[in-house]
Amino acid sequence: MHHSYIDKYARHNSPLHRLDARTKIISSILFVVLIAVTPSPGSVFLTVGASIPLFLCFIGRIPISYLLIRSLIIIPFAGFAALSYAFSSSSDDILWQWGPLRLSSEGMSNALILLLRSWIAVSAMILLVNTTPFDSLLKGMRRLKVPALFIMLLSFFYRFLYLLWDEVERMQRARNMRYYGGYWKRQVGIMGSMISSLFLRSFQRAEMVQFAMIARGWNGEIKLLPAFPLQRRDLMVLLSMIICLVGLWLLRTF
Amino acid sequence: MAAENILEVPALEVKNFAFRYSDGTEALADINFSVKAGEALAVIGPNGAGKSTLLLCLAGLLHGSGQVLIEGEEMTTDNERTLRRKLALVFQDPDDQLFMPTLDEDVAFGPANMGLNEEEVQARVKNALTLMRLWEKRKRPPHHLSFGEKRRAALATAIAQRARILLLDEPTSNLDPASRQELMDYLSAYTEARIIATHDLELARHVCSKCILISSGKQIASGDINGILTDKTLLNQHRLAAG
Repeated sequence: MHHSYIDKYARHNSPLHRLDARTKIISSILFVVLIAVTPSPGSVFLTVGASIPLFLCFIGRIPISYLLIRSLIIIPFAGFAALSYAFSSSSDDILWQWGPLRLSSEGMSNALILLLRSWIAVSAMILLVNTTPFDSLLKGMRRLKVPALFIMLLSFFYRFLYLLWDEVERMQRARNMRYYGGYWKRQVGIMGSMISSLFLRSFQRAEMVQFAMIARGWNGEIKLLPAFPLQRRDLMVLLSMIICLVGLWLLRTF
Repeated sequence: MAAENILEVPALEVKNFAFRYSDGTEALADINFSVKAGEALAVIGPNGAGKSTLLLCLAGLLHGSGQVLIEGEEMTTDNERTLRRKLALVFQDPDDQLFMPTLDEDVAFGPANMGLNEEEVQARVKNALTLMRLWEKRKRPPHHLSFGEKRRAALATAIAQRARILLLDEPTSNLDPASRQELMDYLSAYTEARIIATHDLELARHVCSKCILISSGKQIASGDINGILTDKTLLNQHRLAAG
């Protein structure tokens, strides 16, 4: 089955794709932290911050439309938080009021800042995943001393996410072939049964995968690849990224 | 004389083997057979006969009563990890077998766990993937492969282990005719011992010289493959022939 993979462009070729995974991981994390923790960011800071993922999209030859659509994932999370921000300000500068709901310009500004911060952070992560093949990302994390067990969990997540997805689609198809509309209340129970069936199938799959691992000599120990030093080019890029982030930090109040 | 004795020791021997699930259901009872080095044995039987369970038991992944001897040494919970180095198991569903992010990492998993050095691991990966015509796709995640490719990849993981005994569970299921023929030819030419659980009788006839028939967990017949596969009454009784 074909899915819209989370790393659709990861195996393309661009200057960004050719960088060592460690350079991209460190830069992305520093960038996200800077965007997330900077107190009261100014509009120049946010504009420059938001234009960085767009610029990197161009360098990495990833369609901007792809980034924009993928980043909509923040709406259910950051969207609701932003809404509550927008209506919770105690400022007297009221733009609109309906009963107890008061929309102030300060609330609007806070909500917008929250949305922008979330969008920039999510965009940076989407870019990271789409410019680095997942296995390289895991190897990069290993070399950055992320615990091996966590890496193994991530690797299983990536491998079995699509298999589970396939299972869900197959079950939905089987249901849809014998569901002709109506009887809404009954469907809730059926959905519950489908979820429990999916859980059981996942459990069986996990058991077989464990067997497959043991059959090939796995004894609980996770073998790590030998680390090698960053190349000069990657170090230069990392250094440039850090300098850019320091520059961005200096712009925080503008 | 000593060399002759070594040659006579079967690659795998099963004596009075039985297995029950934790809920008490009897899955296998009184299983007895042996396979010499280089020999191929078919384990045939209808759906639910216990063929897959038997393979899991032979690999020491499930534990029953009776004896499983690998090259003359009885498998116990103390030595099963060591003895498993002599075995390679190919699961029925390749998605159970392939669990690493890329194909080459998956094939390297077994050899790396054997403690081989990186150079030897990579040499084995290249050899196995080239043999299975997957070397060009070595950096792909398994979910980017077709079913036939996944099946070949699962076999490559076993080949890279260079095991003395290859255990295969329904290796031809869901394969297109050309891939099936290719696999049968490969398994026929394989020089180590093979135990193939299948209800594909053509595969069994093409690859194996010996056969055991199990039905409802019991060993019904064992012997020469042609003797069993030409017994239409026996095959009919155990749902291995239509009509």
